[in-house]
Amino acid sequence: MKKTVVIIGVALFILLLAVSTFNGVTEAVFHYRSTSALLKSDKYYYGDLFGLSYLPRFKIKADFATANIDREKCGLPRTINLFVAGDSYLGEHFVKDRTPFCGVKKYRFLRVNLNEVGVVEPVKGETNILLVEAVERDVRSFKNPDYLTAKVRFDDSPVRFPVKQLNSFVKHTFFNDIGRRIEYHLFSYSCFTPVKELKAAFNFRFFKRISGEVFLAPDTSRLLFSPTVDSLSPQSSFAPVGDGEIDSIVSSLNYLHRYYTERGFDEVYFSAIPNPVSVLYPGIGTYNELIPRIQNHPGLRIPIVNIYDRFISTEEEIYFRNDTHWNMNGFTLWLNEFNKKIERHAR
Amino acid sequence: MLFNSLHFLVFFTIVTTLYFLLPHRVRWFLLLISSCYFYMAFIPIYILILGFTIIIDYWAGVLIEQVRGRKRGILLFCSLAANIGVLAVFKYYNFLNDNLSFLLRGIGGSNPIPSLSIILPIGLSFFTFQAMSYLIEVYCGRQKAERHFGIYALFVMFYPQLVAGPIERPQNLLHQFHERHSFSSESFKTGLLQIAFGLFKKVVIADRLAMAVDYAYGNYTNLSGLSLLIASVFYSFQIYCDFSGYSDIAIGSARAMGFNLMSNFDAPYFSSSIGEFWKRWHISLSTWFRDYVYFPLGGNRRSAPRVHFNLMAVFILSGLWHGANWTFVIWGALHGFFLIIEKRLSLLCAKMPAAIGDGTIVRVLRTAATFAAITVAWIFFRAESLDKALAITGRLLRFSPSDRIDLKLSAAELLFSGLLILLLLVKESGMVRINIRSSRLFMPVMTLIALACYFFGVFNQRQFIYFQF
Repeated sequence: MKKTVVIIGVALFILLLAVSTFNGVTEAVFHYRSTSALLKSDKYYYGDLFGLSYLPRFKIKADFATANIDREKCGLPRTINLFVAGDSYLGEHFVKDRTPFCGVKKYRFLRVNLNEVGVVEPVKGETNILLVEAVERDVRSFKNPDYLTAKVRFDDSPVRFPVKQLNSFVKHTFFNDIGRRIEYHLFSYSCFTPVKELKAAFNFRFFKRISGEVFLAPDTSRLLFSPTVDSLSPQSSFAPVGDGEIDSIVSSLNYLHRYYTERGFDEVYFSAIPNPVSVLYPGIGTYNELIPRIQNHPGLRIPIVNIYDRFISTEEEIYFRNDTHWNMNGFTLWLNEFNKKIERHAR
Repeated sequence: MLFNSLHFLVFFTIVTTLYFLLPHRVRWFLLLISSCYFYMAFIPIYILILGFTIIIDYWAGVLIEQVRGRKRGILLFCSLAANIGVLAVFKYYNFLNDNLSFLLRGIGGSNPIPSLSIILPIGLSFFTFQAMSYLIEVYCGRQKAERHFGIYALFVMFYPQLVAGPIERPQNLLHQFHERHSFSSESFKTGLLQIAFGLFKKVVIADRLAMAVDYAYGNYTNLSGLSLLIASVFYSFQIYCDFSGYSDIAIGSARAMGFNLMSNFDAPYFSSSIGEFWKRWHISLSTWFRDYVYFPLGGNRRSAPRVHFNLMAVFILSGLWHGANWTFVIWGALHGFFLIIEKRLSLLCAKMPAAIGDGTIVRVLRTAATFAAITVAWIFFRAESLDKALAITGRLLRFSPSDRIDLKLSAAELLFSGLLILLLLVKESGMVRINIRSSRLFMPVMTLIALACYFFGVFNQRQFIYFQF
């Protein structure tokens, strides 16, 4: 009896390790759990930054009510095929289908920042648009055009990225982020939330310390994602970026524009979503002005959806206080800018 | 895979449970595969380097045992050269090349040899020294060559001590892989407790102190002497808790499966001399250097100048073992220098009345002086460059009790850090003894440590300091 229990126990641990090893399996579990009231994760329910810090004062349910968005009217018939290579800023919390987009008949989304790979087939005789969207902290990845071309592909021949390097392939396939996934499977349940909150509150109260993954804004009104603030991180808004690197990014974006338009897309847009700290607290360090320097670069050929200028001039609350993402106001501002681009292109 | 990660917790549970569920004849295979997995979690491709040295050393061991005469020496030399060669390429090539460039620049020339863009394989110095120990012991006839390739590979790769020791001797470890270990509740509990204490030292003490130390070393130009003094003392305890915490987890993980690894630490900061410190700090490495370098050089049975030379040579080598940087060389040389001074002073003291050298107060003062000397040496160990180490030492020596303390820790956390150090010293002094192995106390103590680790632990996935060596 005792041995049977031990065997069952170790089998469960092996299963846990196996499930945590492969991102695809964890994603499937994630989707299943997000629909289950009992198993729902406490990691993202109150905002991803709350899920990293568990500071009780930021335990606020994020409002993703798409019904409230103030979308401008669109007079286009739905004839456009839109393909989006983006990240969680256009993830399913914000966009579930083609509905919000002006004149879009067919919509497809690929999360390239999670290394999702997909084959695109622009339809001949129809309008095909590719939108490349990235949050500011990931924009520097575009220095190398392979970052996109290896994922947004025109054929399904074996993927060269990241297999081309055995080491990174093995590391990526078997070991990347495994600890985080184990934590998700073992401890990301609402029954553990009070304990995590107790720990966070205790450390904040006595040691004035919060989780290293988040940064408390100077006015203490919101949480920020640490890598976007820490100037030593390449994702930071305050990490120095040389002119040579800006030139490389611009040249790579121009290449991507040429590459995809030559292969059947009628237009390719690029949109960089500012890190919240770049818009709300640019003064807490020396802002590297990554987005304005790219968008205002004289050599830039790819059309852009400029949301940076709109964001820094608005008085509205455009980001969640406990999440790295924009809120529905921020999303709506961006959506209206993008829809204007589509409309202009169609007319 | 870090010991202070959930990944390790799951891995350890699976491997330890399977170890006792599987029959003895396949256990070596389980441990070998698990050790490969453990190592590959860092940089997978470097498993090939380990494989290369293991194949060479396995055959070298077998052949050294078989042949007679001069061939044995040649075989030993070649196999040691292969091991040191791998170490030289990955650890010292760029250091030597940079120094060559510096020298050539000094005479107006330029160095045509390019630098290598490589990352040092984790634990390279540890497993290379363990493999070299095996070869030397086989050569000296004190150890039989291992004929089972899998067991030999396991001797080098045994996951608990693969990346940061203890650097085992074949006589202590090899035979244990052949022995049948039955599950022992006593061993299992002892192992778990040692793991728990190790984890506490790492995540509660070392990683907390590291926040202040990192800040101080990153902003030393703006900090007061007192802040740097506190940061230096903190670093002494950080590195101790980090490394001894690692050793505790390693020894405990092995112990849970019935393996006995050698102790690596014995309350080193209670040493009243540098000589005593090296008998209590990183014991597996200091005994390695003693047995394979210091004794063959003649040890202390030579003339005084030769003994001083031997000491200096061993400690400079020890410094270089830690890292390819002049800061480590200076760190080693400082310890060598302290030992030489100590030897000279002990000769002087021998002529004094016995009462002067034996009192408690004298011992306390000597312990404090030893700790101060070790702490100054650690500055060179921690700093990235000599300039920085000298600047920090200079500022630190000009400290004043009225200096402002700024270490990016709140007053409460600073106080808490001090209390943790005190708690550690009390435990290590042996003043308080609780029989935590008793069945009644085991669960409460484990729960208490687990809760302390969870609530007070700093979980920032910080690597163990000694992984870089």
